[in-house]
Amino acid sequence: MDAEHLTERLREGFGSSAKVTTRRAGRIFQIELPAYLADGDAANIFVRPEPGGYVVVTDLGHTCMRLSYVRALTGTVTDAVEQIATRHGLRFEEGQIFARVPLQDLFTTALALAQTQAEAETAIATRATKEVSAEQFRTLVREVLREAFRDRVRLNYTDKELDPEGLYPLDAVVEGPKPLAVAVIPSEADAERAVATKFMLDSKLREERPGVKWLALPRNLEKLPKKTQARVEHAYHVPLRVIQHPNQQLAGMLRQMSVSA
Amino acid sequence: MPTLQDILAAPKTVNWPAKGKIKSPPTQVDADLELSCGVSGMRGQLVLYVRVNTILPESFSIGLRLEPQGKKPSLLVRLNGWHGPHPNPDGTIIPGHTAHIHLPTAKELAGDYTGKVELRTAVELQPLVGLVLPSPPDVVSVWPFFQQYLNIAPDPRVTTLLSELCDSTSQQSLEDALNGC
Repeated sequence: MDAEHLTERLREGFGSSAKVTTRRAGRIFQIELPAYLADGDAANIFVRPEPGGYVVVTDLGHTCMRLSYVRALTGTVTDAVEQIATRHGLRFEEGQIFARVPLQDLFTTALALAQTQAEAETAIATRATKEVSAEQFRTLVREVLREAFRDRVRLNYTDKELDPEGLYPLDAVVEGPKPLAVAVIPSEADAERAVATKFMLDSKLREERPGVKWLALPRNLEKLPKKTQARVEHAYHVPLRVIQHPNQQLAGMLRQMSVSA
Repeated sequence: MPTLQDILAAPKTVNWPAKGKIKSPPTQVDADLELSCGVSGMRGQLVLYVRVNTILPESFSIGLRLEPQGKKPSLLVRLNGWHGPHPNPDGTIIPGHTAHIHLPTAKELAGDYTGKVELRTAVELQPLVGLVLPSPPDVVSVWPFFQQYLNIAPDPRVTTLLSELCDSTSQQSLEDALNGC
């Protein structure tokens, strides 16, 4: 199977505007169709020949790559990609959208892949924005914690005895003479989880780390429902009700708390 | 209020380490580097992003992203490696398998830097850079042009990072490069 053979097959469905070029001789070919994404770039469609007259039609991960220019590839984003791919009869695994099909289905599968790419870029843009910023917040706060406490901080703390399934993870435990148990709270769901985690781990942590201080770092406590706010404030010390930019100032404040908590 | 042209032309420096990523699929390697840009009146963060496809490393993208406060991030400039042909709104076509740069229009450059930038128009890179790029190009070979275009202060750590993204010798060496070591 070569580029010429694949081009012939495509032109049966698409006419002279279809073209196949070789990207890796005998292994990876690129299909050029008059199918473009919103910014004018061509849809990314590749073909890998398989034995027995089959081909794998794949984007080689380009859809995710393009999405990642302006969004983190969170679980929500990749779930949405998978849903769109499935709707078009394709699979999504390990970052690639693809289908293994007989050669005679090359044309229709290539079109389905082009549609999937276009739909992913338009449909996922707005859906993912909120969750991305919540996850980014968590990532940024954790970076601040790592920078402030280096090897004194344990991220994703769980207690294997009390919670062998790891259902109640705590964002961080800072070791030292004034230990801190830290929950990062970007959203309402995280707030409720943090409250449950505290009740699960509190007695053991106090026993192992006398004087431990429970600290909540919310993105914006004011935006949570009143009862959730109350539960968080009842369970945790909240030094800042709004953290717009996790930065050096936050790191300094946390360091201060770890010596004078 | 600065214009987009003011932002692109302003001197910038790279902040280290690279921003943490949540996760990437195995088909790509990523780096996001925050840039300091001393333009008065500018709000938000400029981020230099780099993406390299691990199966076809000549398929890469390097660009400038604006993350304004309280708004969705947007791309201001984007330089791509090889992919299919790119038809421009004026009817010209960038041939497939050529590196090209997506640029704002004159109207977008003269407007408020937070305005909508569509980046539908691309320009083939080779005639712009004034030197012969390897065929296929890699992200390291286009960096000197991109750095100069965006007025980013020379920093050898960026070149090291880009080399690691193209052909990482080990996970540790990639992590060191992301940390600017």
